[in-house]
Amino acid sequence: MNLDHELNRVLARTSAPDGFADRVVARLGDANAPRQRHWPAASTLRRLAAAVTLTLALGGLTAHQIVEHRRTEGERARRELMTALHIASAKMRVAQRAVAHD
Amino acid sequence: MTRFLISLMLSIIASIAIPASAQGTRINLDLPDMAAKASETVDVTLDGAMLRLAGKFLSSTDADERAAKEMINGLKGIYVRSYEFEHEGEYDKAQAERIRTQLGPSWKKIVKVSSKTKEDVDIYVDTQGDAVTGLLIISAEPKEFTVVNIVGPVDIEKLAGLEGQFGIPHISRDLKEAHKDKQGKKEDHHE
Amino acid sequence: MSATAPLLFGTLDATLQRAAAGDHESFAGLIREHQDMVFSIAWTFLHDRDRAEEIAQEVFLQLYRTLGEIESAAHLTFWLRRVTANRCIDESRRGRWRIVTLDEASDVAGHADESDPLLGRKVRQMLQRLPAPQRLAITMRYQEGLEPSEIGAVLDMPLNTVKSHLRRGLSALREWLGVTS
Repeated sequence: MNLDHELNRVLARTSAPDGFADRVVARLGDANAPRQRHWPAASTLRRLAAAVTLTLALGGLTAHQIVEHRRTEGERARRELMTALHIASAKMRVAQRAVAHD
Repeated sequence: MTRFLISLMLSIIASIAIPASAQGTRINLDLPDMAAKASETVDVTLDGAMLRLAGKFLSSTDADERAAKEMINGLKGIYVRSYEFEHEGEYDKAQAERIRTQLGPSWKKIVKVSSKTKEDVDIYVDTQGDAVTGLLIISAEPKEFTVVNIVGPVDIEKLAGLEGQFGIPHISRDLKEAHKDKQGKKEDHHE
Repeated sequence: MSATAPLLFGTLDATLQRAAAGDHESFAGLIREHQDMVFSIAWTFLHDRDRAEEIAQEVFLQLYRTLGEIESAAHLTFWLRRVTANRCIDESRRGRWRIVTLDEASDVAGHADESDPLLGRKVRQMLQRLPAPQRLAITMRYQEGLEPSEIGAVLDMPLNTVKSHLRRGLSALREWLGVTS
């Protein structure tokens, strides 16, 4: 079996269910509703205050940019961590299987 | 007998109370000759600060990420170098010695898997007294060489069980409870 | 109205502008243009048509709220793929995974024969066993026809990481399906 060929065949796009677009448009009224604003949680306010303080100290980046940069860095670190643990776990299981069959 | 001794050793190591302050040694995993020849490289360098940052972004509803969050608690670093090659025989397995020669007397080899055709895996743990303070995995396949160094009190059994068996996703705790109720009996733990 | 309607009534940019201005008919045309792509990515990832439609609807509702930021047709396609992928990952984190029992998994694994009428089903079920990043990388490669560099851009991953996910995912599929080449 040629796996590449089979994947191309099996994963060919499938049609969205009938009436899909109509159902989305029917929900547009909800999508238009203004988001309710809630007063930020105290922890959020403390983080924003820290970001503003940092902005004054750095003098260049906006608070939003700092928070956004941290989020990007954090997400990247998370992905790298999971990759590392997946690799390590897979190697450990090779050893486990070898021991089990010994 | 060998299997029993290895299992016993793993169980003893896993059950030892691990002091949170236990320090470990970071191993230099860089192999420039291998990197130059590799067609693909995975390079992960996460020191303590980056691990703490990553931990803040781990999901508490995803089973694997929940387990990962528990695992990295107290760790000082996780380092991975994985090199993949187009053809067999493109890298020199002897380069692994550059890593092994860094291991001091506190390091102990706990598993050795040898295969002529598939994958050789050596697993070492660093110890201080009775505590595990580090882990080193060296894996050599015909077209891939991988080293993993974890610094800190690593739970080996948890690490091996992180992805569940054979790549099947963990069943979330909520689903497990629902399944248990439906079955009316205790579900086996297959992780 | 057909899926190509937005092009019949003018440029796609004009359609985007009309949709952003609140023209529901123009927006419906955009949906029909891209609904198969969005739905297919979600269905391949989740293997659940109801959840896939739920995800796909949410993606287009999010698009409606951010239409003013879409710059071109290419940007729209990129945006839809990225948001769909992110929502799939978010959905998988909610823990509502389909339970694959060991018995079921072993029933479908094993030697894959091209003459096997259930081969497609086997391949899709084995895809569910892959970790999310590998499953997404393979979906983008074989369903969307993206090159690894394009997959990296959509999934916000380094190129080498994408290649690694593809290699590991395909290796696992070959092993589970009993494919030797």
